[in-house]
Amino acid sequence: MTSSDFALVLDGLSLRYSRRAPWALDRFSCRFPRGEICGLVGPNGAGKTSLFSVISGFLPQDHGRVDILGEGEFRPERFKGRLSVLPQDAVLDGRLTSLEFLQYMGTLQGMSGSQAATAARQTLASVNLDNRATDRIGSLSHGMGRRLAVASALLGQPELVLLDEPLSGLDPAQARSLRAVLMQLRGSTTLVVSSHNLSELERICDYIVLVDAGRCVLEGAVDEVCARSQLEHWELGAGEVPLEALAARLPEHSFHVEGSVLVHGAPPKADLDMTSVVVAELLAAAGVPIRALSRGRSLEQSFFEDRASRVQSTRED
Amino acid sequence: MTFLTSLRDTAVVARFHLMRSLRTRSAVLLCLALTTASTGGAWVFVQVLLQFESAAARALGVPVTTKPGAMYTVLQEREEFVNFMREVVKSADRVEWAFSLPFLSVTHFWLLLGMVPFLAAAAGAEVLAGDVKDRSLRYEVLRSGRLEVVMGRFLGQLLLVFVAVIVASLGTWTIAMTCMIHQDPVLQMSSLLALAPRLCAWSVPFLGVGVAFSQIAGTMNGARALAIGTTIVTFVAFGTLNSPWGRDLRLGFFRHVIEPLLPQEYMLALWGPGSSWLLPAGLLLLLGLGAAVATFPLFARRKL
Repeated sequence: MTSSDFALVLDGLSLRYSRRAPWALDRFSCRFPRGEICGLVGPNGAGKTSLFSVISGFLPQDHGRVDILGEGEFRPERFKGRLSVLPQDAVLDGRLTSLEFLQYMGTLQGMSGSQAATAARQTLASVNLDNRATDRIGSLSHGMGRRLAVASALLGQPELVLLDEPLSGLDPAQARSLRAVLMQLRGSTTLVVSSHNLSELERICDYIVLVDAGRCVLEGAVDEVCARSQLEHWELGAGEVPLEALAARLPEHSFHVEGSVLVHGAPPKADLDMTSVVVAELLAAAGVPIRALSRGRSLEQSFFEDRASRVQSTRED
Repeated sequence: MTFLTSLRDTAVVARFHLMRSLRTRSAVLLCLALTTASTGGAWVFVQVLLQFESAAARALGVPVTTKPGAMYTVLQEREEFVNFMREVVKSADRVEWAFSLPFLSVTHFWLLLGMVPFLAAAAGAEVLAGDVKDRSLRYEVLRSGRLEVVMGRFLGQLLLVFVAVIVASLGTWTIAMTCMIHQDPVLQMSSLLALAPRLCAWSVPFLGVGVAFSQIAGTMNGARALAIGTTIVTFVAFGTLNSPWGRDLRLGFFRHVIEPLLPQEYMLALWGPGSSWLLPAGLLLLLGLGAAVATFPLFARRKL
C-alpha cells in the first residue's frame, strides 16, 4: 500500500491534558485505509475521544504528526466539507430546528443556501428524520438527536468522517437502520467509527485499530485481526470427533475439541474453503452431525487475547 | 483561508448567530431593559419638560397645558432651559443642534449612552463561553476558522444590539406620541433612527470587551462579570483622569497610552450634526475589534 491508499495517518501522537496528568495519547501511530469502514476500539478512557479531538483540531497535540487525506494537519479552510466529525458529547442547540441546524452546517461547509437546504433534507431522510425536519431539536428524543448529529457528520458526503460512538443510545431498530446507512458509504467515504461495543464494530468494519492506554496496540483488516482465514469453530452434535483422521488428512492444521466445538487452526495462506470441505466429509463419515460453522474469533476475543498477551509480556520483561 | 472565504464565513456566522440570538431569553431581556429604560426615561423627561413649560406659561401669562410640547420653541430662548439642555448634552457648543431635533430624541440618545455599555458588555460575554462549555462550538470550528467564528458572532451580537436599540426607540416614540403634543411622528421616528447607528458604534468597544472575556472564561457568568467589571473600570478611569485632581496626577506617558484606549474619550464626539460622528465611530469600532481580538491568541489555542 502507498501513502495515498490511506485517508488518515497518525504518527507518534502524544497528548496530555495537564503537565501532571498521565498521557491520554502516548506515541500513538496508525493508518486508516481510504474508502473503508474503520473501527477504533478500546475500553473507556483508552484515548479514542482524545484521538478524534486531536485529528479534528479541537485539541492541540503535544507531539507527533497527523496527515489527513495526504494534505497534512487539520485546517478548517483546507478540509471544509471534506472532513467531518461526530463529537461524542457536544450539545445541539435545542432552539433550532433540525433543518436549520443542518442548513447552517452546509452553508459553513461552503454550500450555497439552496444547495445546503437540499443536502440537509436528503441527509435528514437518510437517517429517517425527514418527518421531524421543522421540529425544534429540543423536542427530539435522545436517539433522534443522536441521529441528527450523525446526519450533520454525513452532510455533503465528506471524504473522511470520524464518528465517536455513533450508535450509543439508539434502540436496536434505529441502530440497525443507521448501520445500513454507514455501510452504504463503504468505498466512497472513509469512516472511522469509535466504539467500545466490539460486536457492533465487527458487523460493519473492514479495518480495526485497537487502542489501550493511549496507544495503538493492534491494527489490521478485521479478517486478519479475527483470524478469519485461519480459524474455524465447528459446533457439533453427539459423536466421536475423528481427530486422528483429521490430523492425518490435514497434517499442517491443528484440531482440538472444546466441549461440543471443534476448533480448527489453519496455517497462513491455507485455502479454508477447500479444507472445510475435507473436514465436513470426515465428520460426516464419522457420523458426527454439524450444527454450525463460524470462522475466526470474535473481536472481543481478539481484544482480550491481545490484552492478555501484552500483560504476559510486560510481566516477563 | 482566502480573504473572501473568510468574509463569507463571518457573514454566515453573523446571520445565523443573530437569528439564533433573537430566540433567546437574553435577547428578550436586552430589548426589554433598553425599552424600559428608554420609555421610563422618556416619561421622566416629559415630566421635566412639563415643569419647564408650566413655569414659562405662568411667566408669560398664557394657559398651562397638561401635555408638554407646545412651548418647546419658547423654552429654547429661556436661560434655565438652555442650561438644562447643556447638562443633558454635556456640550455648550452643540445645544443649538439639540434644539433642531425633537426633545425626546435628544434625551433618548443621552440616556442610552449610559445604558448601552453595560448591556453590550453583558451581551458580548454570551457570545462564546456557553457554547465552549457545552462543546456545541465544535460543530462550527470544524467547518470554519476560529477567527471567523469569533468575528461572525461579534458582528451578529452587534446586529442584536442594533435591533434592541431600534425596539427601544419605539418606546420613546410611543411616549412622544402619547404624552406630548405637537410632535411630528415622522420627524420623531426618523431622528430616533438616525441616532441609532451612533448608539451602536458606542456599544462596539464594550461588546468587544465582552467577546474578549467570552473567549477565555470558563463560564458565561464569569465572562459576564469580567466584562461588566471592566466596563465599570473604564468609566471610573475616565472620570478619574478628567476630574480636577486626576488632571493633576503626574502620569506622564502613561496618560497618553490610557486615554486613547478609553471609549469615553470619543463619547462626546458622537454628538454632533452631519457626518462629524463618523470618525469617532470608526475609532470606537477599531477599539472594539482590538478588544475582541486581544484574547484571540489564547482562544486559538484553547482546548475545545
